[in-house]
Amino acid sequence: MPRPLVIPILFFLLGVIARRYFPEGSSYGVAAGLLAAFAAAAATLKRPRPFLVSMALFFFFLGAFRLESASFPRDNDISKCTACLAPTLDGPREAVIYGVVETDPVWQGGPRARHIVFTLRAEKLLIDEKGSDVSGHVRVSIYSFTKKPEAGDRIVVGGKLSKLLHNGNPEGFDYAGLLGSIGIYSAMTSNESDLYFKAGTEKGVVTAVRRYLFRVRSKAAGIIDRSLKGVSGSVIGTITLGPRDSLPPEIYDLFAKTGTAHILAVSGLHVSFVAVILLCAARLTGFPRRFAYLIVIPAICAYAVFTGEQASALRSALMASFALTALAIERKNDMPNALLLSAFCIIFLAPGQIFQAGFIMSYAAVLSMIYLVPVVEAYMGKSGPERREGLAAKVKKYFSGAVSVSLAAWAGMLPIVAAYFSMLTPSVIPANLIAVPLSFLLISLGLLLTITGSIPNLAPLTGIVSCAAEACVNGLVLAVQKISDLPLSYLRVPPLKLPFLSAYYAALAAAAWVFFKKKELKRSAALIFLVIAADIFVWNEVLIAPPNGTRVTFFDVKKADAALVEASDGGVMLVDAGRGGDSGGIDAGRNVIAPYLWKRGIRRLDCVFLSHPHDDHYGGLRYVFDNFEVGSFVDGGQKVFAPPEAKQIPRFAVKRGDVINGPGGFKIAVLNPPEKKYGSANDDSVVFKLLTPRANSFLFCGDATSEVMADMLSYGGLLRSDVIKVPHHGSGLGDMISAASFFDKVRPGYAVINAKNDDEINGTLLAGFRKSVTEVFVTSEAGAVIVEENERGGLTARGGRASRVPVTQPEESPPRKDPTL
Amino acid sequence: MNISLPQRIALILLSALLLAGALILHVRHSRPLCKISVVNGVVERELTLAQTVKMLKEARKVDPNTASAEELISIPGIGPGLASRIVEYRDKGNAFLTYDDLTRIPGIGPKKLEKMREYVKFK
Repeated sequence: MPRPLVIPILFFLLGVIARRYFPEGSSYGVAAGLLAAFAAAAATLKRPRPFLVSMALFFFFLGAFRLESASFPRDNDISKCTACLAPTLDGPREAVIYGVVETDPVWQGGPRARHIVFTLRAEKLLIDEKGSDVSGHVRVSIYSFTKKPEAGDRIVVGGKLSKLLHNGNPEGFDYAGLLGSIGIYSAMTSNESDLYFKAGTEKGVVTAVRRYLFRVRSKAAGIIDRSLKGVSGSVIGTITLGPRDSLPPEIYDLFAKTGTAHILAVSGLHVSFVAVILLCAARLTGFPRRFAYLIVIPAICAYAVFTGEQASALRSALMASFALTALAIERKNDMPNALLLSAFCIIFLAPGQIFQAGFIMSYAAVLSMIYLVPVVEAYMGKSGPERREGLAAKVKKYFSGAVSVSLAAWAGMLPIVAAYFSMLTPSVIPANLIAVPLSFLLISLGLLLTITGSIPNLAPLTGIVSCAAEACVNGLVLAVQKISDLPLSYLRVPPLKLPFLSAYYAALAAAAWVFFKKKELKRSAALIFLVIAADIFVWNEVLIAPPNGTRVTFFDVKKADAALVEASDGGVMLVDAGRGGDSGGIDAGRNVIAPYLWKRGIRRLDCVFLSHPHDDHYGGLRYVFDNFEVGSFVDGGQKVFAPPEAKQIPRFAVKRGDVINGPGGFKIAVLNPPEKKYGSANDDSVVFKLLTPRANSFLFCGDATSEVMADMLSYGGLLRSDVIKVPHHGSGLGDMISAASFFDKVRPGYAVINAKNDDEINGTLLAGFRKSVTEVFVTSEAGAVIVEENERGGLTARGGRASRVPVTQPEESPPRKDPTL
Repeated sequence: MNISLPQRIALILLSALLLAGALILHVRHSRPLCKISVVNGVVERELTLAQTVKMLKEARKVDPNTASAEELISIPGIGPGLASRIVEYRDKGNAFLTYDDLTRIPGIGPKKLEKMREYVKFK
């Protein structure tokens, strides 16, 4: 058996994956039993290899066990504290936790809401003045502190503790699921008025080493921030030291669109380059060759920890260590073995990593490079050893080598990138030819800067290095920007559904297999593969059809409004877009609306409605206008927000009494604002009733208050609607009698309230709706609210959160009657 | 590049499939964006201003048998003292069956009753 590690490690990984998707003991038992039966059958059919089969099964169960012990919550896990976090959404509760900081705290949030985030291993919990011993991990965010906590600190922290809720928006990023796979099910937020102090330090060599490395990193980050301001500082900082929150999302987007986002993470490239630098340094200072190899190993591992313990960095550090060991003891290094072994080490210590994007992309990239580069080179017709070793030949060799590596990695990662970023990036090949060499330069300059910056006497040198670094960064960003502006540099595509994904990798494997087995069919096989791949992406999108009937999705954007109306003929209408990025929270356009649209293959909006110019309604529109084609823009005639001039989008200002013939055959009756405006943005909200071809009606009320509602009463029976989007987030409506009379005339079947939490909503309002047998959805609880029309014209509504089943956490056992809690 | 016959057939079929799919997508995405049109001043009101004012006034009427103290205070002429007396009266198990029953509360005489009449209703 040439690679004895393959079977055990593969089955170990399978065990981890299986355990996550079969969290229930019973279904897991069934899956495992089937696997055992299959293995036994395979063993008896071919040459019986009982040892191999038992090894495979042993590692399978080992993987499953590791995931369970590392990520599944124990009975006294802090997220199960029934007094505070009952299975029903109780909202956050005041609590105090005593525990150990496990990860190096990182800065997050925009300039207005900056805070640090870290993982805390909880030991004791104090809630409602009752204390208990707990276990498990909590994601802690602290907004104000005097001394920043460090990994290994024992701390006491107070604040609001809550269970992590799954993202209620369809196609939204499931942050809770991601954290759940690494064993974190609850979160605590600590503000200025909350308690926080340090109560000691955890002992241990590993902790001490990590703390030291993180301190060095903090110092280095400080040096870089002092020497380089703005974009240059954040780019150099990210490349040299790992992720920084200060990197503007627009810059990150440029790199993502050109497939060069990997240079902004500490990956194999970085680690290899740093290893080379260290090796040269070691040799120059006179160490013998083999010794040099061996001492670089701990240095490289330290670098991986130092840059934030990212999966890609750890993987490459481990692989580099294996390679260096092989060199030192003069054995041949086998890449696939090294890759597998590094995966085993990482997943054994942190099983949840296998589900994280960073890990998946890192390993997919290296696997593609190992197995596909020779294939690509052969298809490109690389000839044997060059006769003429002149400069031209060397340059040609560099380019063809670089192109084939890029192409191989791209081919292997295509569906994964499409899944995470919703795009294909053909410009990756020219972009990487420029970005990769520049990143080497930037890493060197960054490291040099931290060294010279820490020695005050070298200040002039620091100045020179900073200038060089800044010029380099500007050059890189400019190049990437120019490339991303080229036509077809990136294409937005919906992610591949599972059958198409499998078909893609099957075709890729077949094309590679043809190369290895039947060399004379090379070129034609490549061509067939290309056509198949194109077919897969095209038909994946073709099969995404518009909904059967009108679908309205009221997104969960906390205390803001954003709704999307999709017609059965493909027409799309956006009503308000939540907040933008500069208000400190998440940018609803970038993080909620755009992903939904891209993942459904929607690239154009027929029209965009803005109810009124408040930031919680137009903030997200900037991103929408920048990334989508929009047919028209409708508002109440306000002057605060306008679509970008260059796009020349037709604008319509509507008022009370107008009727709009909209997309999808919708008829829209405008009930507000009046000709003579009220003078307040809220009261001048565009209030309209949308009627679908199948005669279902939706009343959008913007942020209108009771004065407006009283005026609209005169529309009498016209107000009657099937669905109402309750005005002004269900609070601060003013005179509740007018409001109640208004809602009485509307008499909806469904009411949707966009709110951050339901104690803000007016109680009389809620009671009134519930009395009239209206089903009320509050976005903070239900997630997004999706209302769909069927062929017969009936309406169904559901909450976006209910449809997401937490995959890692086994079902909650019924709450125990615990006397102490 | 020498391509064998089965490969040629495969290529032709796959390319045809690709073309068909691309054509469908092209048609779908080149559908012209809806040209919306606005017709002004078409939506008719059902009720007059007087009718809505009347409706709101009716909605504001308070039922002395079920109203809370704050709702009672909203009646002109009823202050916190009278409101609490009404509530006490109710708590003792009494109810108001007609308008005139309100005069049972000390402080509400016939003159005040007349002023209150338009703000009170019985369900």
